[in-house]
Amino acid sequence: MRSSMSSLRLLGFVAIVSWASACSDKARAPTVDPWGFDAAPGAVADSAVDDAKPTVPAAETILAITRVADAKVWGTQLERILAADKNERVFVSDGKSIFVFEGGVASRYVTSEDLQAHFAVTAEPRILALDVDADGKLYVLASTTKRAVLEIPAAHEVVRFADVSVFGRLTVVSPDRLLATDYDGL
Amino acid sequence: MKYTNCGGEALSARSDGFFHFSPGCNGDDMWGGFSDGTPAKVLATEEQLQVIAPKYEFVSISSCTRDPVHGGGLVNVETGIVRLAKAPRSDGSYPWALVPTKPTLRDLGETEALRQRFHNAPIAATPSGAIYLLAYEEGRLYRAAKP
Repeated sequence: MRSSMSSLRLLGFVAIVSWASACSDKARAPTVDPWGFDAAPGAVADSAVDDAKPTVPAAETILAITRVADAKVWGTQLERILAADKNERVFVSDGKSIFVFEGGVASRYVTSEDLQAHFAVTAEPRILALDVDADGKLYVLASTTKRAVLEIPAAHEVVRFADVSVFGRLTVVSPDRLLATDYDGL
Repeated sequence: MKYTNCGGEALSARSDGFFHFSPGCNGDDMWGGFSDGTPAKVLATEEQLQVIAPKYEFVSISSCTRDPVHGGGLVNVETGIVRLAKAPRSDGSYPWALVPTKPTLRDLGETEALRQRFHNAPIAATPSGAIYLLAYEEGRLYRAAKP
C-alpha cells in the first residue's frame, strides 16, 4: 500500500484536526462557514475553522434516510456501481446492463447488446464502472477482451469515447476529462 | 500503484479537477488532490475518522462521491456519512464532519438486516442535496434528504 502511494508522488501526510469530534463540550459556532453553506467557493475563515469545533457544519440539517427501491425493482443482482444526475436519475448496474431509476420507476437504460456493438468480439461486455457528468451524460468503463470508455448521451445511445487499459474505478472531471484507476495507479 | 484488489476502492472527482481516492482496504486513508500532477495528500485517516466511533461504533472508508451542493466530497464510512470540505485550512489540511442522518447508517444497517450493513456501499449525490446509497448485495437503494 505504501509503495502504491509513492507512485502518486505523495509528499507527506498532513495532520487533520477533526471537526467530527464527538466531544461533549459545546464549542462556539464558526463565524464563517467553511463548508460552502453560506460562503463563496473556496472561502475559508481559518480562524473560525481552527477555533471552533462544531460536531457538524453550521446550517447542516438532519437528513432522513428512506429506502426507495429494492431488489424487486431490478430483478437481478447488482454490482457495486452507482451514479446520480442533476435530474435525480439514479443509475445502477448488474455488470451487464445499466438501469435508470427515475420517479420511482426503474427501466433498462443500456443493454448488453447496446454495448457489444462497440467491441469487435462476441464476448459479452462487463460493466466495471460508470459516472455521470453535469449534463447527465453517462460514461461507462466496459471490458471484454479489450476495454473502452463509452459515452451514453441518452438511453440505448452508445458512443465510443476511448480505448483504455484501465480496469478499476472511473470518474468524470469534465466531458473531455476522466480519471480512472488501474492495476498500476490513478 | 499496486493493485490492491480491495473491494472498497473509491474514486470521485470534482469539476475543478480535485479528486478523492481511497485504495479501499481495511485501514486505508482518504486521499485527495488535483489531477494536474500535484502530489496528492491524506485528507483524513481512517484512524482520525474513528472519532465518530463512540456514537457510530466503527468506521471504514467504503466509497466516496463529489458533493454537488457544497463543492467538496461525501464519504460513506459504513456507519455514517462524512462531508469533506471543499477548501483547506491555512495549514493545508481539509476539515471534515459527520452528516447527521436519521436513522444513522449504523442503525439502518441493523434494522434493514443488511448482510454487510453499508460496507463498500457506493454513494452518489445530486444538486438537490439528496444523497444515495446502494446496498448492492440486497439491491436496496436508499435516499438521504431533508425531510
